[in-house]
Amino acid sequence: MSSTSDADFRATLHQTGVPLTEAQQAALREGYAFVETMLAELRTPRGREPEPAHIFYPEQCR
Amino acid sequence: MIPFPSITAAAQQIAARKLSPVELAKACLARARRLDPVLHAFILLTEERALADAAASEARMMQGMLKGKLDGIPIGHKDIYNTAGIQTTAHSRLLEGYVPDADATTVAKLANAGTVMLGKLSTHEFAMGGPSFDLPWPPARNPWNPDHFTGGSSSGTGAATAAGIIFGGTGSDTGGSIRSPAAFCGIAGIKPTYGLCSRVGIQPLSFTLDHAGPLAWTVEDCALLLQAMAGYDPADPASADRPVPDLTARLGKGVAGLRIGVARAWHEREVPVSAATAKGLDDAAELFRKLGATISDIALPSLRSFQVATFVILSPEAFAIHEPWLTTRFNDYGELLRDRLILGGMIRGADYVQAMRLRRELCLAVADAIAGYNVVLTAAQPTEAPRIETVSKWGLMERPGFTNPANVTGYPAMSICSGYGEGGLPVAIQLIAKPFQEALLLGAAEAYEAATPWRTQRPALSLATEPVPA
Repeated sequence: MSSTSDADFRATLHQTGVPLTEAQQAALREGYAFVETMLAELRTPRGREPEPAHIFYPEQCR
Repeated sequence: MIPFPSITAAAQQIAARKLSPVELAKACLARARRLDPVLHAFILLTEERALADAAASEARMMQGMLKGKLDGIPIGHKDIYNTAGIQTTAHSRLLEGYVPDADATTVAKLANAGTVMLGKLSTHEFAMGGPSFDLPWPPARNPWNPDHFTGGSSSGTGAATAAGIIFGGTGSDTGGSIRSPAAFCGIAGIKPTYGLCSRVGIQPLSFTLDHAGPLAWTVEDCALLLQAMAGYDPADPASADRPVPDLTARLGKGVAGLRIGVARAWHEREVPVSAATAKGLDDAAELFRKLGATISDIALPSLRSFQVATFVILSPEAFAIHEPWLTTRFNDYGELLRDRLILGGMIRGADYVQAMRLRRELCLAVADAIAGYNVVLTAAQPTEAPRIETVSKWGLMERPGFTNPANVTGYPAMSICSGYGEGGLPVAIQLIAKPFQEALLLGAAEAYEAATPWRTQRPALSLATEPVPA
């Protein structure tokens, strides 16, 4: 069950910039519920120290 | 010629001039024509190219100038691998008619090794949207039972290899797309360490999770294909600038003295597996013990944590790649891919960064846990392949996958057949090793394969001598 209101869902979807019909928007509600659950788990506090796992080689930035 | 030689067996016959590469290519093309109306493993059968490659190989054979064990061996390329002068569609309407100017680095490397390109193989749309039924080409079908899923996204490579149309081919693996079709189609597939194989010229899905690698019938065949594909590519910013060792070095050497950790909590508690899959895991652990390895349970972070990291990293990266088309040609995508992609545009930048921080934490935790082990044993898939029409649009999020941890950490991992389930389709185990330990990983997998009977059985459909009705 999604915890996001319909208005918030539509606003978030609008930010993607992808033009969607009403039916296409409705079809995404089910999938977004899974995303919400994942994001809630991800937002567990982890302090300021842990670095992201990006790969970056400065010597290649010439 | 035996009906389904391995690459090694075929190579020996070619080297002895007992097997003509041209006749071999013709036999594989004939098998493709018989079976592909049912399997849909190919987007494009490159018959002229195959026969030209085979003729060149045959000329080398006659001159005693063979390039190695892959010379004259028919393979196929997942259709996200660019092929110069040959259409590369990514199984998508978006790239229909796209003809690249240059080969992907790995395609060129395999061509330089003398392989014969039989065709371009089905995939999930852009390696993420499948199995889809609203695209210009149908999804590939499992040769063990065409009503069932092949796994994906390297679906055509899995199906064509299991059916004996090709000896192996290329795949890509962002969340399990080599190991899933390898498991469901009963073949071998290896996702190497991140950075071992160039990604240049392969249609991207997720920059930090994409891996290139091979699928083949046997472990040794995978080793031979991976040996040809691997190596530093300065054009790939993630490519590892280090020499590639002999990846066949530990084949036939056994597992005596290795320490193998069984990730039991994953398949016994977090994602319960079928009885056949569980038996395969238990039998594999016992076999490795008998072969001289030390077996004990290993505690690793939850599969769920890897699933969250995978999804929250993969989706925004994929959305960023596809955003220009999503905003202008949304309806040209298949429904599965467009709906999966758009979720990536709904994830905040801060959440993407948090997922990358979680990834770092998971990498450190796995490195710590695996320090006393050489190999981790786990499932590749929880069950045998489901019926194709039952595959869920949201499957990536519904249940954690056994394959995600090796994408998040970049560790090399391999899926190999471990028997057959109640429905008669294959089940599989997965072995994971430390970074750049592919030779050890392949050696352990080959030791298992050599001691089990699973390579003696091919799908009944592949034995057809007449065209199989669609």
